[in-house]
Amino acid sequence: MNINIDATEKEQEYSIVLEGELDVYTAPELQKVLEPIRQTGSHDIRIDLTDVSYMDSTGLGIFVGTLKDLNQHDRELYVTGVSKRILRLFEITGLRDLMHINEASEVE
Amino acid sequence: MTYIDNIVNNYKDIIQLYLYGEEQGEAIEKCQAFSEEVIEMDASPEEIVSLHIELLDDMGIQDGELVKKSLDILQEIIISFGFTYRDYKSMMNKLEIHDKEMDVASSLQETMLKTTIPTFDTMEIGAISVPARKVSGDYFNIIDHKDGMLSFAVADVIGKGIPAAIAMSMIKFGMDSYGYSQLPSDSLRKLNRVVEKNVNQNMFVTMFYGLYDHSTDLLYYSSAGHEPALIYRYEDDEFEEIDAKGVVLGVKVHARYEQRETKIGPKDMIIVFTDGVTELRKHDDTFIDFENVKDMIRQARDHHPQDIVQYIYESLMRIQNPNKKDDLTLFLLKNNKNLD
Repeated sequence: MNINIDATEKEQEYSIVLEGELDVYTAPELQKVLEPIRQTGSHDIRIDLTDVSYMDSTGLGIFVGTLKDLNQHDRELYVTGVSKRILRLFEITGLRDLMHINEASEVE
Repeated sequence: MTYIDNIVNNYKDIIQLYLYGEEQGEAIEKCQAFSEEVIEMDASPEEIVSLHIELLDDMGIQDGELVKKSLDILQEIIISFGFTYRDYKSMMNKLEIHDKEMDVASSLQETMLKTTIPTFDTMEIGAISVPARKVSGDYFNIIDHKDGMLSFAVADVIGKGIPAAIAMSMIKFGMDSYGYSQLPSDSLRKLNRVVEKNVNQNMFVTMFYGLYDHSTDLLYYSSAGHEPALIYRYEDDEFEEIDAKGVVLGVKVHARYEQRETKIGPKDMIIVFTDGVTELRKHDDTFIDFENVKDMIRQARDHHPQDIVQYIYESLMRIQNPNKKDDLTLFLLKNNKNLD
């Protein structure tokens, strides 16, 4: 199974749309895209999971790392399009309270 | 025209262009694309040398100066082979280092992190933990405090290789060094501080922590973002999900953990597992129906916990898609006191 990563830079945020499965096999690809954005900390990051059919804990690890990096720069992490099954992961791990999940975007 | 003929003709064109054409630079440029193609098709350097000799014969090139000049082309192509070879070697080196790292982590787990399962008259314990690859991300620890209290923890370390193995050793030594029984919420709070300081960015740990008082049959438990555990109520033949609020270890510095307690009746069982069980992918790639796991537990309920976890593990392996394996851990504690 593969993953498609579509990243767009906007003024204040990086918007990343994922399609496929985010797991131990595909997570390194997303990591490669996120690493430089995370570390400069000049943008908020918005990740769209609408077309992600499966995510495992390695995928979750990427969100944890991104969150920690962004917090150091007072930047926010938004995760949208989170399905019920994936939402369960964010809930069980208690991570739901630490990032913005399925929140409506400010500019509609 | 076959593919090979095509290659031969290409090479012939390059030599022609270089020896008799006006644009020698163009010929050199073409060498690069040509080398990429032959390397891609796994041709060896000696095959290219043979091809060169054959073509010189074929084209009737005998003049010493021309033969010498044609060698520039051959040299150009062999240089590309050299690059590829060096890339290959450096990749092999990296792989070797990576393998060694994995070996270290794996033997660390097998020796330092090994947990022996204690035995008691009033309860029975079974546990199984099977890594999907060489190094496991799952970990469990059981400590008999010899004061009527037993601590157990089941954890899933998200992250790989040596850092994950180090995180596990920190957890183990953290747990072992308390020396006396601690409340689960306090233990998790302390472990969180240890893990938070030391792990790399993407890493975190989920953990279910229980303290069982086998004189009163009370279970105290807390969870750091771990899968809810189960209690099998023998008398009612029913399962109860137990969970407590708390974030995974290693993410938030000052995390607090809720603690709950419940009475464990005679023959009741506490079952703790990792997501290798709940998120198991079947042959058709769909997820396991967790009711199936409950049925397995129910069917085996009168056996020893070690036999129960072994039975569940084997049943799960039969339905699991072998390409989507994850580390899998099952811990089962049965209150062995008799029903009145």
